[in-house]
Amino acid sequence: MSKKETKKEHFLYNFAKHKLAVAALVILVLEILAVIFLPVIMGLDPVTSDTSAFSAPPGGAHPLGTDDAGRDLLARLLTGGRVSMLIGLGATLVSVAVGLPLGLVAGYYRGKLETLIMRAADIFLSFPSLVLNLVIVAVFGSSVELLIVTIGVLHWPAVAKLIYGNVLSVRSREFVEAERAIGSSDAKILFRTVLPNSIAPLWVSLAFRISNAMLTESALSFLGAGVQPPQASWGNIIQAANNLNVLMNRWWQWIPAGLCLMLTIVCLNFVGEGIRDALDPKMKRL
Amino acid sequence: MLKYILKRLLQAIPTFLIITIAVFVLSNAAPGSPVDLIKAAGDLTPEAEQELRVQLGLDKPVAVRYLIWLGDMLHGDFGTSTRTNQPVWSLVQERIGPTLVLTLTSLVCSLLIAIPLGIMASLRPYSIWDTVSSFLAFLGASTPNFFVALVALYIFAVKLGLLPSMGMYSSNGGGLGDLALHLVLPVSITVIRMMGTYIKQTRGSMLDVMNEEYVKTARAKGLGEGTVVIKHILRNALIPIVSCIGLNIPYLVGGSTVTEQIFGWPGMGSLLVLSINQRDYNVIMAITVLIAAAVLVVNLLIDLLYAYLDPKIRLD
Repeated sequence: MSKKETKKEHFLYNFAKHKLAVAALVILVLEILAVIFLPVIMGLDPVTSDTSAFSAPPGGAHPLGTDDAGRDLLARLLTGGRVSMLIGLGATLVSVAVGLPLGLVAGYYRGKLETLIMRAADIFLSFPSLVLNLVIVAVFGSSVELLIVTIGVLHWPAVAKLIYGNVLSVRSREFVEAERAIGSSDAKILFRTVLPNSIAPLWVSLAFRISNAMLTESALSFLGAGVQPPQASWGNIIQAANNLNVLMNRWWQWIPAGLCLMLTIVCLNFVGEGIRDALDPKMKRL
Repeated sequence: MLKYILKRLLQAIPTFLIITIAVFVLSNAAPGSPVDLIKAAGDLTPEAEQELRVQLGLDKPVAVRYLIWLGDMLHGDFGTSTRTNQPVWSLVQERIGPTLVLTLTSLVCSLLIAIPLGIMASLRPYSIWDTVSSFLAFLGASTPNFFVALVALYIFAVKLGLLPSMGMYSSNGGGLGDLALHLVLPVSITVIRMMGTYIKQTRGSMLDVMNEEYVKTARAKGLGEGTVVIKHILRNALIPIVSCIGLNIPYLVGGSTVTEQIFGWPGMGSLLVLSINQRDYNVIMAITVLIAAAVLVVNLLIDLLYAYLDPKIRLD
């Protein structure tokens, strides 16, 4: 058995020991399957209004009731979950795609490039990204694609800083010096040696990053600056509760979406903790 | 010390300028300039259009327009709101106080709860305090804040009628007590969100310092446990805690936008959301720039505090 396989088995073994994380992973997988397949299987329509049932309570043709435009809320809950998860995942990929190379380059080459990149990261971090996100949406309008890109881009500094810190400590280690001594190219050192040795913390943080991006999306949509109706997202479904009448008298129009969002975030964070504990038992707890 | 302050100031100014440039460029990229709007409303001869551009200053290059805008702003002229036709400054001005009250109260409350909890957790790892604080930290990180806010609003304001649901004061006026009642819900929601980070940071920094040689020395020379914890451990652990507070200021401000919106708090956040939904760009630009300036000023203050706490910086 190769060393790599034992490492992987070791990781899986440790992760499996974390009962809560395993349970959370199962729930997440079920949720993903549900939001992808249930709307198709059940033939649900999230956008067409049922003119005979505006703001109808749960029951009959609409198991979770309808919203004030007469749209089926079960359908919206499922397709909204699909959109929210897609944005969470997509934005995280974007932030890694931007932050990872920048952090790598800043940490490895040092010098002016390092100053430039890390100063830029500091500037991004010194401004509330939610506010910037709101402004961008005000200017360019909002679509799912744009949300994925803006949330992702605004989260790059955290990824870059994480990678940068690790590259700094890895680049002066003996095995990197050795590679340099035998005359390997920069690209080879970077991608074959430095990257694999500094990426572990990124894996650890991935589940937390996805939950963070989902929280950002839901907050934006809740403020009316995210996913726009008739398309649903968990955030914009909960927006209905901005109306005191809905908040007081129509729980079915906002509580289910809020609970789904909360369940997903909690599960992602448990999975994140499971991954962290399994990769590095020393970091266990807080 | 003076050199340190100057260095920090010199770093803050370019950051501020870059943010203003970004805001200006963004707002100018927005579709629908005033000229386009008038053009769409009726037919405009090329000459009249040119005249209008000169009148609005749109004939000048972007860089010049940016400098004029920046200059006006530094003189307190933020232009006119397209939503209300009032000067932007008079709209924004009355929103600054409420936002400061909300964010500062939230910050102080979170620290008053988080730092003692973090200390308790670090002194007795795996005790009930540790469990409670890590549970609270997890709760803060795992709950969509606006949903918790709505549930709290529903339970405490609507169902139980214990607390006011909206605004900063009751309509029949009210003093400090009234303000305090209105603060309970929005502050609690912000505290739940911010607390976790501070608890974790306090616990972590305390544990780091605890194993230092000088702590062992302090104990070895027979100092009381209280003195060791407060003067030797906490004093040194405060440095990373203070920098953590600084790093989280933007997060605090961003989150208060959502909180203000839910609780109808008459602050800058709710004005920003309103202006964004109405595409009132002058107000959006003014608020963004003010937030940037506020965050930078707070960070400068935190740098000063940092220097006060860490003699290595002060004496360098």
